[in-house]
Amino acid sequence: MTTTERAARQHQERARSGWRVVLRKETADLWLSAKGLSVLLAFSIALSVLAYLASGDAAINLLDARESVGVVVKTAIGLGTLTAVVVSADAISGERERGTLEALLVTPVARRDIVTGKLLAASTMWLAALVVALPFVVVMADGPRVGLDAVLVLVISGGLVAAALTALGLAISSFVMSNRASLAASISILLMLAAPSQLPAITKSATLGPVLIKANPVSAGLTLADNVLVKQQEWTEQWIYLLSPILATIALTAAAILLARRLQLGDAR
Amino acid sequence: MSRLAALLIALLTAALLAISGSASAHAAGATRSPGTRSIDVRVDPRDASVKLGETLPLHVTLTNNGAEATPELVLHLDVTDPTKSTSVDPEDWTSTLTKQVGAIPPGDTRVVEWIVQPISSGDFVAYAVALTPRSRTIAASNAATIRVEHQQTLNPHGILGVALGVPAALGALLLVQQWMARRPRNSDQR
Repeated sequence: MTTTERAARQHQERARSGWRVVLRKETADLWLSAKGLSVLLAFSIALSVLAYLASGDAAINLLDARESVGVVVKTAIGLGTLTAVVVSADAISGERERGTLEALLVTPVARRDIVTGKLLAASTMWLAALVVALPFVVVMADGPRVGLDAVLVLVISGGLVAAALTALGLAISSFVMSNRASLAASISILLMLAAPSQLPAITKSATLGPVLIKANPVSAGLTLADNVLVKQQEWTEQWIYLLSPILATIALTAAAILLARRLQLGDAR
Repeated sequence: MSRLAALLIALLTAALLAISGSASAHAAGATRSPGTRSIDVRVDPRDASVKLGETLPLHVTLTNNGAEATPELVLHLDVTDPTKSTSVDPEDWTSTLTKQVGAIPPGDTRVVEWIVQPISSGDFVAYAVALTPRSRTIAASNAATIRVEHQQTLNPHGILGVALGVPAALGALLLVQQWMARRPRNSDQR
């Protein structure tokens, strides 16, 4: 093997593992700067206040112990997803607006790898939120069964919802030129998707309501949390509520990676 | 003449008895329909004190003191604040405000239990009303006074440590990170 061939091969290998390089750099940027920890601190304060109030109500029997855990788990899923969406919605459009996207695009790393690396780095925000939420859930859980159910709901349902919405934020960030517009659109979509699960009276009365709740990945995930933790339904009955989060995660991740081909510098102004 | 006087005395006595009967019924606070005035409704305990969040069993005793069986009865519980300092929604205290009792034979008694859970502190009054299915009031009970004391827990379910500890740990981590970022590196000093 000649020196030229060896160099070409090394270049190819570097390009192939480009997503790892992007992941490492983006994760370091997120967690070694104040950004990641500040968002996580705000998340932990919100969860602390809510957990304290819910525990206070549960202690004097104004709220069922399982219900108080359910409230905290659903809030952790919602806010944890929001933190990951904030990071992913800023990932491309933020670089574009700061004028650093050009430097990133001229590296030998494929655009698909850039998006994959950024997606995985943004997902670490959800993982951190999950780690922060666990002590609250474990302390509040009334017995090991409730604790296990709560952790499983957080990991499975919360993980899928966060993965789907993180990919959505990144996809929006890829084609929206303004960072502000990307953040606004991503957060608005998250709020709109979460809204139906907070309107039980309306959604239950309509014939189409239950179908829409199952089809919407966020409301399906939150409903699953409610069913398992508050209504004490079996996990085997919940597969229908996992369908849309799984499909949304696959579809939106694929969309984010496919949109990477059309990644443009654009005019961030 | 003496017969007329005796008739007048008899009529006056009857009138006085009727008036005194009506007055005692009003004094007892009971509203009864004609023919069914023999039902007694009693709520026990008459005076109770609980802490906020605790449950309180209320026993409502219906006694048919009459000679005939009562019609089908429905018992309804209500809670109010006579001083109107607190708004009360009885459905917050118990999910079942109305219970079917059925007909009560003469001389028989029925006891219906409600487990209520006050959701706010204050002084309240609970009372029960026996109704027919057509919502005609048969009898109302005594007013049971319930004092609900406020209860505060500083560390409910041991959450305080986590609620303060997690944000404090993250805040400390953020401060350390900021301090490290601002600290001049050795290479910079050179």
